[in-house]
Formats: sequence, structure tokens, C-alpha cells
Amino acid sequence: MPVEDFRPGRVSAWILAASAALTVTGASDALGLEFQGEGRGTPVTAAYPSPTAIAAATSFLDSRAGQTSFAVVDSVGRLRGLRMREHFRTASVVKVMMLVAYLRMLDTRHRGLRRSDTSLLYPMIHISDNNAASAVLAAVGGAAVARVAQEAGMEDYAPGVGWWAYTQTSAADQARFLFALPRLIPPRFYGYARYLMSSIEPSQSWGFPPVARPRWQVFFKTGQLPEEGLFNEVGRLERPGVTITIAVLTTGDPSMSYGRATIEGVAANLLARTP
Amino acid sequence: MPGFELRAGDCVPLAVMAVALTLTAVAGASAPATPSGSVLSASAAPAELNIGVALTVTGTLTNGGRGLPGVTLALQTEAYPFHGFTTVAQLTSGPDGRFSIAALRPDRNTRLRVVAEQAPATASPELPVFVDPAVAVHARRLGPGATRLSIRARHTLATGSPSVSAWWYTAPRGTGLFRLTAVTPTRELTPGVTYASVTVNPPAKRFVYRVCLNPAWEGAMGPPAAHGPCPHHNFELRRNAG
Repeated sequence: MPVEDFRPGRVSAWILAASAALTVTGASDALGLEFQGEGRGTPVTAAYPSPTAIAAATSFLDSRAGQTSFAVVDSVGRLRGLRMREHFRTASVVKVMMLVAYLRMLDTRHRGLRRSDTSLLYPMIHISDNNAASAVLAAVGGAAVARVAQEAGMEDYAPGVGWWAYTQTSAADQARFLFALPRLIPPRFYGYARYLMSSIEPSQSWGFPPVARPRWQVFFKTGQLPEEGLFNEVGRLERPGVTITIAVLTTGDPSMSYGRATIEGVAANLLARTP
Repeated sequence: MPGFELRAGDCVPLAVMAVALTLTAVAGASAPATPSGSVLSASAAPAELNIGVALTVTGTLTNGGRGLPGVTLALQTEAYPFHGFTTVAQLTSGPDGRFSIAALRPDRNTRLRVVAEQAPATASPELPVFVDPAVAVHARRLGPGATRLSIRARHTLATGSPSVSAWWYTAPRGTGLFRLTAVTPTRELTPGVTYASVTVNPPAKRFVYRVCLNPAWEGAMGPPAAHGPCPHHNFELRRNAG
């Protein structure tokens, strides 16, 4: 952990009672425009989901057919799950990575969102349009998606051979990626990305949303390759003061309804208790 | 008047501003030429201030150690990004050569100088003035596991304030061990006022938080030593380091 000198005289806002406003003068010495205050609150020290909930989800997933894995970044930032590093094809969950790469491309070009952009991004996420995804990937290039993976700390990423839906990933990588979204997406586009990921059409809103809503804000993406029995879902769930991310990856499911039920079951076990 | 605002009234034209300035000098009947060898000294106080706070420029015009009265002087400013000086006010040196101008409110980093324009022209040294944003941070306890933190910064209008990331760090009070807790986007509430907020699970009942920004107006405000990229990781602050 880096250590920095601390000269309180330059660090602005010492001492702030909870619920009180404070006017701050100046910036700190070493780091950008940095301001400091003091707050009070009641910490919720236990991680969410609890170890019991993780164990229940693990037990449930172990009882399901096919190849399965899940990963959670819990409310204190720890990564937990089952068979978290096993490799799966992403199917359409990779579209979130494409979305991030595209928004970063716009930011690099100092461009806002135009109709030509939203006409690709919206259908790619909202209805999981594959043609739109191919166009987005063509626009950003595979290297841009790889950079997103690298910056998110994804260790199991490998580009798809023959088709972007065959991108290699793991539950751990996807949970990490979703947790890192706020720092990966340029701030001016973050609201748009959240809008896209929280307003996916009902027919694609299986898995996490029916289990978590309305207790949680759910930002998610599903993916499926039915011919392989592959059903995936990645999501970022938020409540005031609590953020978790979940990735459930499955393949070899006997049916579509079975795969979806597997994902909903994992979510139901993880979210059984509201924090 | 780039970089300045005058509290005597909004949108005050230059001529009106000159009247509003506090001049301790007494105007002479006719402004004499500046003798060769004259020296203009000037100082600005405070040299670093928050946006909206007034500063005063004082100084003396002397020649051979004696004050020169009744000389017409010009206050010139060069505001960030420092493309050249412009005259913002005129005044006349007093009986002892002293002069003073108050109620100047620069809205971003600015260099000042006082010039005696009659031949031979004489100028004071350039006076750097650092203008910091006026920032209010706020913490509000919402309930178990949730305390809302916010920052509101008033800053220069010169650069705009497109959304950037606000990096939030929290540490149990007294530890100096700051954990990167959240990254949220800023938004400009009104022109010149930028805001960001986040709800965090407090690390302890009493805790310290920091928020770091790299806004578009960063270069226009505050001393250069205060500028730099926000850390994208946890960090430890070492108290009382030498």
C-alpha cells in the first residue's frame, strides 16, 4: 500500500461532524484536488452476502446439471464463489465489455453520444441485438475490448475465435469487471450505461431481476447459446451503501428453462436476506 | 476583465469598476511623467485565496527613496491560461507615493502588476495570485451501513466542468489507512458549481473520508503543487511525516 506524507495544514477540511456542512479551503498537497471531511455512521461490518448465503448458493449450484460456476464480489470487495476460474464462453454477456470499449472510444475522441452511436448501443444491450454487437466490435476493434479486460483485472479473458460470442471468460473475471464499471466507463457516459443495463426488455430480464427487484437496483446482462445449453448472467446490484456483483455461468443445461432456473436459484440463495 | 468579478454589482463595466475600487491615493491635478529610475513595488494580500474572496493590492512608487505623488498607475491582470496582461483599473499614487486597490475578486489563478504608463514606463514585479475553489463537503448518516457523502465545489467559469470521476476514500478515524471506496461521476449543478455524492458503508462509527477530482478547471485554480492525478488505489497517510 503506498504511503504518503501527511501535512494536515494543507489538507483542507479537517473535522466535520456528521450531518454538518463544512466549507473547505484549498486542496491537499500531493493528490489532485483532494478534500477531506469527517463523518459518522453505523458500519455494517459483515460482508454481504453472508458466508451462509454463499454456502447455500454453492450447495444449490452443485446440485444442478451441467458445468456451472458463480462468483460474487461482496459488499466489502471480496471475491467469493464456486469454480470461479473455470472457463466459459461469454455468449452475449460480452456485450457489456463492448459497450464499455465503445464509450471509451467516444471519450478518447472527445465525442458525445450521437444517434449513430445509440442506434447501435441501445439494441445491443436492450434486446441483445447481435448485428449491433458485431458493428460495435468492428468500430472499436478487438484490441479495445482486450484493453478493457486488462484494466478490469480479468485474468481469464481470451478473444473469441470465429465469433465474439465465443469469447473466453470466467465467473471471477465477470464479477470483477462489473465491480469495476464505475472506473472503466467515462463519467459522462456512466449514466447512459446504467440506463441501458437497467432497462433491458422483459423477455431478456430473467435470472437476477425477478429475484432482486424491487429491493435492489439491478444492472445486468444475460447471454445464451441454447444449442450448447449455455446460459450466463452477470449483474451489478446496488442498494444504498451496499454494492455487490454476481456472475453465474452455466453450460450443458438440459433446457432453457433449466438454465434460467439455475441462475435464479443462485441469486435467490445469495439474496435471501436483505442487507 | 477576464478572471475577475467585482462584488459592487454584477456585470460591472470597466469604468464603473474603477470607481468602485478603493483608492487611498489622492488624485493630483495633473499626472506628472515618471522620472527615470523610478521604482514600483507592489504586493497582493492574500496571495492565495478562495474564489469569491477579495484581495488588496498595495504598493509604493518611489524615486531615489522618495515617494512620487500624483502619478497615474494602471493595474493589469493576466488570468489563466495567461495569454497577456490587460488593464483593469487605473489609479493615482498618493502624496507619499503609496497606492492601494481593494475588492478585487479573481475567479482563477491570475498574475497582477502595476504599471506607470507615462514615459519611461515602469512596472512592478508580477504578483502571482492563486485562487482555490470554494468547497463544501458534507456527510449525512442515513442508517446502518449507509452514510451519504457529498462535495460541492464553486469554481471558475473559464473552463467549463464536464463530468469527471470523483474518487472517494474512507478510513477509520485515526488510522490514516484510506481505502478506495467508490468512484462516482461529477455533474455541474449550475455553471461554476460542480457536485458529486456517494453512499458508503462507513468503515467505523467515526471515520475520515477524502474525495479527489481532476476536473477541467484544475489547472486554472490553486497552486501547481496541489495538482496531480487522483490515486486509483488504497493508500496510507503517514502522520507528522518530516
